[in-house]
Amino acid sequence: MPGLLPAFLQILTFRLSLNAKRAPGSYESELLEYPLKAIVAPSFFLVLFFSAQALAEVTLALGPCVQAHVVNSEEKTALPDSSLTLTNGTQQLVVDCTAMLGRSSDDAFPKTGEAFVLLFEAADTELTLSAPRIQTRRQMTAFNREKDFRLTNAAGTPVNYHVDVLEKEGFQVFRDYPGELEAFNRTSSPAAIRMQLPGLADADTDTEGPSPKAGGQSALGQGALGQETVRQMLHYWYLQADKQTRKEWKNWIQSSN
Amino acid sequence: MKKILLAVAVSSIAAGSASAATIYEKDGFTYKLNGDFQVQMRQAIGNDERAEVEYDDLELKNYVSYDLGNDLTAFGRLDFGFKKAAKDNERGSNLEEAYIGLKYNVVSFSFGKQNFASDKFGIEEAYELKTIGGDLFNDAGTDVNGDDTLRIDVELDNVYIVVSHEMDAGDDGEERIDGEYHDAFIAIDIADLTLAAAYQLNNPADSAESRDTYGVSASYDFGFMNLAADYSVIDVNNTDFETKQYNIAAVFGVASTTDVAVGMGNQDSDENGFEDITEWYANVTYKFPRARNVSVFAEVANSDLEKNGKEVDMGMLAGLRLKF
Repeated sequence: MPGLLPAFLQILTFRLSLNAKRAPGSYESELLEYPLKAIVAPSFFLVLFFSAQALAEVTLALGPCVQAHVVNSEEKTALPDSSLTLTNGTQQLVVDCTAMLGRSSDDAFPKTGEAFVLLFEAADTELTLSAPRIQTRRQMTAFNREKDFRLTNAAGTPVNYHVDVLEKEGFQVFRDYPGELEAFNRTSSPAAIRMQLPGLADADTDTEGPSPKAGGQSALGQGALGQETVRQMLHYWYLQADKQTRKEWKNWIQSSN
Repeated sequence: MKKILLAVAVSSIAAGSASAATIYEKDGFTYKLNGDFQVQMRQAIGNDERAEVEYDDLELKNYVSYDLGNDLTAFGRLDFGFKKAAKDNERGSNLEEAYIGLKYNVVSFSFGKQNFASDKFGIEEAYELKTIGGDLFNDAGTDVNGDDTLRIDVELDNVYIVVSHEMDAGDDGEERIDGEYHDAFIAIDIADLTLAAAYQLNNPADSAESRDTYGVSASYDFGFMNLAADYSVIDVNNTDFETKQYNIAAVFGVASTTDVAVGMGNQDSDENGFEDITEWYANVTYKFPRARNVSVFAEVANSDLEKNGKEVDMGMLAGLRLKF
């Protein structure tokens, strides 16, 4: 209820402004009446609006080794054992897990597993995202392969999610996670959010947007926007493009692979 | 300093660092770089010891591998240490490990300059031990890595087996390995209990004398603490003397960022005139929440050793460690 106190103060301010209006012979109150109403009234509704919004949120607690890098397309670092506040709806995160691996503290060095994209739906709930206990390189390899995150609500009930590896070849330092996620979302991975192509709203009306249910498939690959349409459009627009645009397009394809 | 097995539970505390060891990865090729920088302000156990800056670890570890397909991987390691250069004003680095090998599924074979199998043995949790070694495998003179070493590692889910053989090659230099070494190490995890055993047979060059060293250890993770003990023995074949050492150590996770360790070790020998030595220590390690592979630590230690008829003074140290 973080918005209730400000809302109460705004109501009080509004009431005082109305009382000021009724004060007989008060010229100042007349002068103040309309500006106050103009400012206070909308802000009152704004406060109520945001108070309502404050309730409509998801709290996501990260487990001991889970670190977030991108939260709903925005670059945002959240450390292990911390929590994130998300707005209700579809959630897409880039996370990884770092553990000290080795049979002794002297031998142990930090090892970061694959970067994963997680996609799930959540509203008005408290969730926990954790990875299995990882103590050996074999366990890290198995985790990278199995991608067995545990996403649970406050009651401990598992919440369905899609997960996939955010692959990056070449230099692994200073990764551009938001840029990589943007390219990832153009793939047919179940964890990708379907790109809303401009001018294609009509063709897309018979689908219900991203549907991150366990075992589901990406809407981009399975929805109304079929691969045949995609193929035809790519062919069409490629023929329309000039030499420079084609070159840029090829470079983009190269960098996206 | 060597901290084995007991630290497994400690190391399970995950690091919250963005630092990934992998630098480059493409088409089955991987290059990883790790580092371990540890510098201490230390006043060692002894009589009238001066405080000084010590470099316990200043290491850069390079690892490359190629995925050859069908679960086969070729790998190589090149580790450089700089602590002698920093401490003794030597030029350049010290090559600590240099080996190459093949890994198939859970089995890897490597050869070159590397640790012996028994180097994995021991449970002590001290940052520094002064009057005794961490265990008797340290005292066997194998602290220096072998440079003609063949080694096989088998890493299963709950069992870890290592065997190594140091060839009787002609080495030069002050820190040369003398003779042949045959080593074996096994560790078994049974739920929260870890049992380990190690054995080493040393045949010094140009000598009929051989030396057997063996040890056993156990550690148990109680959740709030980890308790461990080890026992090792050196038996020199042409004498009747045995040297024995035991260690006990406990690590408490007093907070998610803070570990406290206490421990002691005792060394005794049948040799005439040898008086047993007991050294104890207590240390605290704080890992920064934002980057848990960065830690500060402090330790106090003492021993019942007497020098010139006088008891030694307590030692203490404090330092900073960065790992990546």
